[in-house]
Amino acid sequence: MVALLFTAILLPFLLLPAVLAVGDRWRARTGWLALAAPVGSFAILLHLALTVAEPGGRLVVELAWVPSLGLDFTFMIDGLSLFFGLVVSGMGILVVFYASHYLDDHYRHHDRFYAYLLLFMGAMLGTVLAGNLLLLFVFWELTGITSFLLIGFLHEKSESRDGARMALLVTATTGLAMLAGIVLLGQAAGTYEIAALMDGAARNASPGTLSAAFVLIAIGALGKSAQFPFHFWLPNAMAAPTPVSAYLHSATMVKLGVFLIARIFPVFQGVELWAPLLITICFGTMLLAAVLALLSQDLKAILAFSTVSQLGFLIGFYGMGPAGGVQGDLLHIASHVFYKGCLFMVVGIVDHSTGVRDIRQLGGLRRELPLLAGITLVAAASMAGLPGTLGFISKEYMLKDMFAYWEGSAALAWYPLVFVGVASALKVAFSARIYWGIFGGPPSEKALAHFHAPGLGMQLAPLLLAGACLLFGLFPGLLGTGLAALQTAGLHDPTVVHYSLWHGVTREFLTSLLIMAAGAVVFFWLRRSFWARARIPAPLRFDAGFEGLVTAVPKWAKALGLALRFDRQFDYLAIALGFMVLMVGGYWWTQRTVLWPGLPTEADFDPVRTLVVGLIALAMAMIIVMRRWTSQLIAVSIIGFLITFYYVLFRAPDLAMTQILVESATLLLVLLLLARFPRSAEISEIGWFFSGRRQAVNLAISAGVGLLATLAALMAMQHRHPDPSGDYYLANTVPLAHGTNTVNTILVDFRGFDTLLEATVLVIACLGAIGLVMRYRRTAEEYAAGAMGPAGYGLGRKTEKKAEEADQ
Amino acid sequence: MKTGDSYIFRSVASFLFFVINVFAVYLLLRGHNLPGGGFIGGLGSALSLIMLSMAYGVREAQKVLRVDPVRLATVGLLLAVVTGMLPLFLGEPFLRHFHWKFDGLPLLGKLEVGTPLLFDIGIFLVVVGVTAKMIFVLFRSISGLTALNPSEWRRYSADLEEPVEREHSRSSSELETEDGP
Amino acid sequence: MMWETAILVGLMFGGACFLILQASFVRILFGFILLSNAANLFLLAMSGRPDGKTAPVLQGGNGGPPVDPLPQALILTAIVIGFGVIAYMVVLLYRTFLDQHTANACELFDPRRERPKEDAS
Repeated sequence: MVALLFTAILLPFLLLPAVLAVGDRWRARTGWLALAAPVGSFAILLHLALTVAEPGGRLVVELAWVPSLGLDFTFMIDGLSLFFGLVVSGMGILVVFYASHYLDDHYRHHDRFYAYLLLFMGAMLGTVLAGNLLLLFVFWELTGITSFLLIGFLHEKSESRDGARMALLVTATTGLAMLAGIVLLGQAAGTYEIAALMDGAARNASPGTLSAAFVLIAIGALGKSAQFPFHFWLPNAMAAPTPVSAYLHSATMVKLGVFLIARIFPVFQGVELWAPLLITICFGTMLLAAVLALLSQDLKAILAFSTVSQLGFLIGFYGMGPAGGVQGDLLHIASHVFYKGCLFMVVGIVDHSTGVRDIRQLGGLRRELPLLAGITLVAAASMAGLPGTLGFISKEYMLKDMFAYWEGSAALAWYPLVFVGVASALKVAFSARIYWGIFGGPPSEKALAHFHAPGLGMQLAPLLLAGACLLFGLFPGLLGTGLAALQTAGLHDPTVVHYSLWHGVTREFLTSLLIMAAGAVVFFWLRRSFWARARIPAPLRFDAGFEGLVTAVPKWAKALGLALRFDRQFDYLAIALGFMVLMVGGYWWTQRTVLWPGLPTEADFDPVRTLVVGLIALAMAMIIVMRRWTSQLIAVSIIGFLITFYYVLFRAPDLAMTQILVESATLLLVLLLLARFPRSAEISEIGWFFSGRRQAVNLAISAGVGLLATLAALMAMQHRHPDPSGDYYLANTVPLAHGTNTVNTILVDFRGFDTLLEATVLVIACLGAIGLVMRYRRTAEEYAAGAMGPAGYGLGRKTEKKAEEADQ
Repeated sequence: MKTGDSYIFRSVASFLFFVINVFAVYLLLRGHNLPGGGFIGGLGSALSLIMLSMAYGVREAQKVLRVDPVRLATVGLLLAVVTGMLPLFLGEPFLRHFHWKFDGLPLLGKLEVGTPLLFDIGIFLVVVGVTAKMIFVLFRSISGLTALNPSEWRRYSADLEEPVEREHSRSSSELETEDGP
Repeated sequence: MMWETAILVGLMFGGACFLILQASFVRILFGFILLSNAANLFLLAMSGRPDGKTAPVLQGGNGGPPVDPLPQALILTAIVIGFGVIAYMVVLLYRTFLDQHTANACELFDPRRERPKEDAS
C-alpha cells in the first residue's frame, strides 16, 4: 500500500528523464509517452479509493528521510486528498491526451512542455496528499514554479513573459505569507503533522496566534486561487498554451486555495475571523469577477474571470460552513472541473481551427463544427445551471445552503445569497454569450478565412467532460454515491445526502428560475446595446497597476542611484568611510578613559616581527608613491610574500604554504592582464589623477581607517576569551578526528560545513568569470589586433611597434 | 597566450609539471596529519597548469588536462557533498566522518584512512578546477582565441541563445584542428 | 599585547583603503588584494602571542604548547575565497576594459565622453 502510494506520487517524476530524452525526436508524439504518468497515478489512486478508503477514515503513511533532522515524508490519505488526487490525475489524462493533439508539430520543445507538465502533476499530487504542512508547502511552491514555466512556455511573446512573471510574483509572495502562517501554527501547536492538527493539536493555542496564523495561511490560499485583491494574475496567465489553461488555471492549481481552506477547516473552525473574512472577500470576488467576465472580449479572458468568480464561491462556501461540517463542496468542485475544463478545451479548439479568440469576430460556426457546438451547448448550460446538467444540481444545493445560512443568526447573513444570486445571473448571461458568440449568428468571414477542421481526437476530451456534465446531471445519484465514499473526518457532515434531480417546487427552484430569467434579460439587453464596445474600466485594471509597480521599482532605484551619484564609487565610498571614521572614532574618543590600551613598552615589540612590519611599511609607501601599474604590482606582491613570512613567525605552516601559492597565482594572473593592457590605457590615466587636495583628503580618511583598525586589533588582543574554543579542537583532534594537523581537521571535520560552502563560493566565482568573458563578441579586426588592441608591455611589444610605424 | 620561445623553459616546465603534481598529491594525502591538505595541493596543481600554459600555450595545457576543468570542480563539489550526506542515511549528523584502521598491510604497514580524505579530495578538485578554468578562459581570451572551445559552446549557452563568442577571423579548417577537451 | 601586529593591521587597512578610494580600477584591484590580506592578519592577531609555542601539528611533541588553531583554519578558508574573488575581479576588469576602452572610473563616468557603441550581446 505504501509502495503503491509512493508510486502514484513519484510516477510523473520518474517519467521525466524519458520524456526529456525522446522529446526532440518524437515531437508531438511525446504526449503518448507522458500519458503513462496520469493514467498510472489515476489507476493507483482509484484502486486506493476503492480498497483502502472508508468514509471518514484516514490513513497516514510515514517514511523517515533524514531522521537526525526530524525530516520525514508524511503522506495522508483521506477523502479530501483522494478526491483532489483523482481530479488532478484524471484531468491529467484528458489534458495530456488533448495536448498531444493540440501541440502539433508546429510547436517546438515538446520535451520541455511535457516535462513541465509532469513536474507540475507530481507537485500537485504531492501537495494534496501531503501529511505535513511543511511538505505541503514545498510541493505548493513547486506547483507555482512549474506554473511559471508553463505560462512562459511561449516565451518569445512578451505577454507570456509578463503573465508568467506576474503569476510567480503574486503566488510566491502570498506563498511566503502562508509559510509564516504555517510556522506560526506549527510553533503554537508543537507539530506540523496535519493529522494531529486536525485532531485538535492547536486547541490550546492563544486565539490571537491562531487568528494571525489563519489570516496568513488564508492569504496564501487566496493568492493561489486568484481572489481579490490578487485576482488579476489569472487572466494574464492565459498567455499559456490552452491545455495548460485548462489544466492548471481552471481545474487543478487554482483549486489549491480551495483545497487548503478545506484542509485547515477543522483546525481553524473556532477562529472568529473565519466566516467574515472568507465570506466578504470571496463572495465579493465572485461578483466582481462576474462583472469583469461580462466586460471581457477575449474568450479565454471571459473563462478566466468566470473561473475566478467560481473559485470565490468555492472558497466562500467553506466560510459559511457550520460547526458540524459542510456538505456538497466536492459536488461543486467536480461540477466546476467538468464544465470549465471542457470550455477551455473548446476555446482551444476554436482558436486552433480559426486563429481567432476575440468573441466579436467569431460567429456562425455551428455548421463547420457541429460536434463542438453540441459539446459547448452542454458545458455552457452546465455553467449557467440549466436543468438536466450537473451545474443545475450544484446550484440547487448551493442555494439551499445559502437559504440555510440566511436563516441562521450570523452577521452578514443576507450577504452570500444576494451576491451569489446576482453573480449567477451574470453567469447565465456570459454562458449564453459564449455559445452564441461562437456558434450563433451569421457566419464570420474572419473566422472562416483560415479555417481548418479539428480532428476527432482533439474533441474527444471535451466530449467526455461534457458527457459527464450531462450524465451526472440526469443521474446525480451516481456521483453522489462516489462522493459519499470520499467523506472526510472533521470536514464533512457525516449524514449522507442523496442527490436527486427533482425536489418539487421549492424556494431554491423558484430562485433558480428567477436567476435564469434575469440572466436571459441581461443577455438580450447587453446584446442590443453596448456589448461590442464593452471594455474593463481603468480603475478595475489591477494588472496594469501591478505591472506599473513592477516596472517603477527599478526606475525609481536608478533615479535614486543617479541622484546620489552611486556610480562614482570614489565619491560615495569617501563619504561613507569618512562618516564611519567620524562616528566610530568619535565614540572611541568619548570612551577613551576605558578603551585606551596604554602606551607600548619595549616588551610589546618582537624584534623579528617588527622588522617584517617595517619592510611591509616600506612596500606600502612604494605603492602610494609609485605611479606605474607594474611597479605597484611588484610592491603588492612583495607585501604578499612578506606576509607569508609573517605567517611563519606565527607558527602557521599551512597558512604560509597557502599564502605563497595564492600570491604566486595572483601575481601571474594580474601580470598577464596588465601586460596586455595597451599603453594608452595607462598613459591616459595621467589626465585623470586626483588633485593634491583630494589625495590629502583620501590619505586622511585612510589614516583614520588604519588607526581605528589598529585600535580594534589592540582591544581584541586585550580582551581575549579566557577559554578559547581552539583548545577544544586541540584536545580533540586526535581522539575525535584522528588527525594530528589541527588546522586540517578543523577544515574538513569540525567545521566541514564552512569548507563545503566555501568550495561552492569558488565554483560560483568561476562560473561568473566564465560568463563575463564568453559573452564578449569581437569583430574580425579585434581578433587580428588581439583582444585589447596593441599591448603595452612585454608580450605584444612587436605589434605595438608595428602599429606606431603604421601611424607614422 | 602565445607560446613562449624559450627552449629551456619548455623542457624544464614539462619535467617540473610532473614533479609539482606528485608533490601536490603528496601534500593532499598527508594533509590530515602534517601541513598540507586539499587547498594547498589544489593550488599547487593549478599553478603547475599555469606554468604549462605559459610554456606551451594554453591549448596544449588544455589538452594535457583533457576534461573541462569545470567538470573537475563539479565532481569535486559533488564528492564533498556526497561524503557529507552519507552519514545522514545512517542516522548520523551531516558531515560526520568515519575512520578505519588497518594493520599489517603489505608494503604500507599501519594505515589509517577515513572519509575526511574523500572530502579533502573533493576540495582539491574544486580548487584545481576553478583556478584552472579561470586561468584558461582569461588566457584564451587575452591571446585572441575564443574564451571557450568550440566544443564547449553548447554546454555553456541555452539552445535559443546565439552561442557566445564566435570565430570571425579564422577559417573553418583551422577551427577543426582545434580539438579541445 | 603585540603592538607591531596591531600596527601592521592598521597599516594594511589604511593602505588598502587609500587604494580603493582611487579612480583607477587597477589600483582598486590592488586595494582589494591588500584588503583581503589585512582582514587575514586581523584574524591572526586573535591567536595570541606565538612566542615559545609550536605549530598546531601534534606530532613529535617537543617545545611548548601549540598555538590556537582556529584563527588559522579561518584564515586558510579566507585566503582561498579571497583568491577566488580577486580572480573574478581580474576578469571583471578585463571585461570592463573590453567594453568601455578605459580602466578609469573618472573617465568612465565623464559626461563628455563618447561611449563605445553598445554591443548587441
